[in-house]
Amino acid sequence: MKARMPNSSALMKQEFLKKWIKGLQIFSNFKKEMTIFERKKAIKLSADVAIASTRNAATHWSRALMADVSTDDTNDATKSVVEQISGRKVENYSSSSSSKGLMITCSNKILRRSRVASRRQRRRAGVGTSVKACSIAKKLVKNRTRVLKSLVPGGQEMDGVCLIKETLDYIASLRVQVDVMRHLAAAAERLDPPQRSIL
Amino acid sequence: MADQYFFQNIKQSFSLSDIDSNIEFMNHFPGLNPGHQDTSDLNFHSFMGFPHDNINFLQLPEFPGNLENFPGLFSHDENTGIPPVPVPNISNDNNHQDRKRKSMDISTPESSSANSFSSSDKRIRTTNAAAGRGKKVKSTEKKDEKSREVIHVRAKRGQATDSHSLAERVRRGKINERLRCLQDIVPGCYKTMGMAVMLDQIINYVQSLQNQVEFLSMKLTAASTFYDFNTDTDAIDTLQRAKASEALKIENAASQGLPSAQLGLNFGYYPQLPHSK
Repeated sequence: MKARMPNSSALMKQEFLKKWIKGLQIFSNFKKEMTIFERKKAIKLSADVAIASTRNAATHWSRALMADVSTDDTNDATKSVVEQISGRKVENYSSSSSSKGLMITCSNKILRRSRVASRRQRRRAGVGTSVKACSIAKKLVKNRTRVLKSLVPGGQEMDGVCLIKETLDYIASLRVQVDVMRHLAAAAERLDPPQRSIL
Repeated sequence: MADQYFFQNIKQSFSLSDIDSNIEFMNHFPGLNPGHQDTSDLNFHSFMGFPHDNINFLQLPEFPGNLENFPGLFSHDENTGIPPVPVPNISNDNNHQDRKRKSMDISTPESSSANSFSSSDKRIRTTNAAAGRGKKVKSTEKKDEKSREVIHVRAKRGQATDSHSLAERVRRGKINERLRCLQDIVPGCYKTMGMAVMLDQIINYVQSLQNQVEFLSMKLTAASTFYDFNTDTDAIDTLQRAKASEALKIENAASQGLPSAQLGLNFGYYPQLPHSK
């Protein structure tokens, strides 16, 4: 993780920018006149697909993000964007993520049942008051883990170790995305209207 | 004495917490505590001079080689509170026998400790606690030196050497290691804080980053509309709308406090040069 330092982040930014612009061009080719909301959706969608595909489906969150994009509204533009940028068909993402999710939820259920059993055991044993603080802390942590799982795409099907690793990766990718978008926005401000080429 | 060598070497291995709860856990097994006087001797003597039939409850059930199959059953000290699952790194090894045999590694303590240091993160040495078949089996380091991802864990002195607690310890170690990396990335995150606070910071940061993406895409939409309809009065409306959404986003970010301030972004100042990174 430390290896992802200046050089590699610059590469990631370039890759993201290329893919994002590609997506934007596809959208603008499909429809000349878009409403504000369509535009915003197009921009955000292209950005998300681009940043997810820089990971090449090696991480859970990128796969989940692509699956979300594919299943939300599959109009032609979205489909072609996903296919051209990531190089994979739309159906692949939705099917693979759902099957894996099923397996993981099954094992989670088993674990939850076993944990309930152990909790009952522990209550019978009778623990002291020091455990109360411990249990409050655990409850807090559990709540926050739940929130974090809702934030990270595909987080519901991850366990603790995996979740933190994916969060790490997701944060790094989000930073790349934000950086590039911010610079593009700044550049767009400075450009004079006639010279503007991309937007 | 060989005992001293062994205990010294154990201390040098993974420094994870929660000795007390593990000892408490061991108290549940009456056969393990001959006298319950000296917990330091507990591991060594009770496991060493163990008759064969009492050991059976220590042995792992006949599972396909997975140490971590029931981490949730015996986890006393879930500091993290994150539901444990079988660690994916463990290969369904063929050497089921080696994992199930509980024996103390007396014979070559120094060499095995050297090996454990030289091996990678994923290879931690398993020291088995008691004889599986009534005899003292030497360390299985040579057999398990495979290229596959096999986890061996060395039990520390005074800690339970049960496979479940070992697995739990491994899992916690991994989580702690990852959290250390997260500290460097997430601003305002310190190891001295508890797990809950760190998670809070992480959540704030992720939310602020996602809000930034939303805001920036809105901004770019406004910019593109503005340039497309250069002379159109609608563009001014869109700009105003964009500013309104910016204001909302600032409020959101401000309510989450720290991360947005630390990131130093200038929301809502349109136009404004961004900070260079």
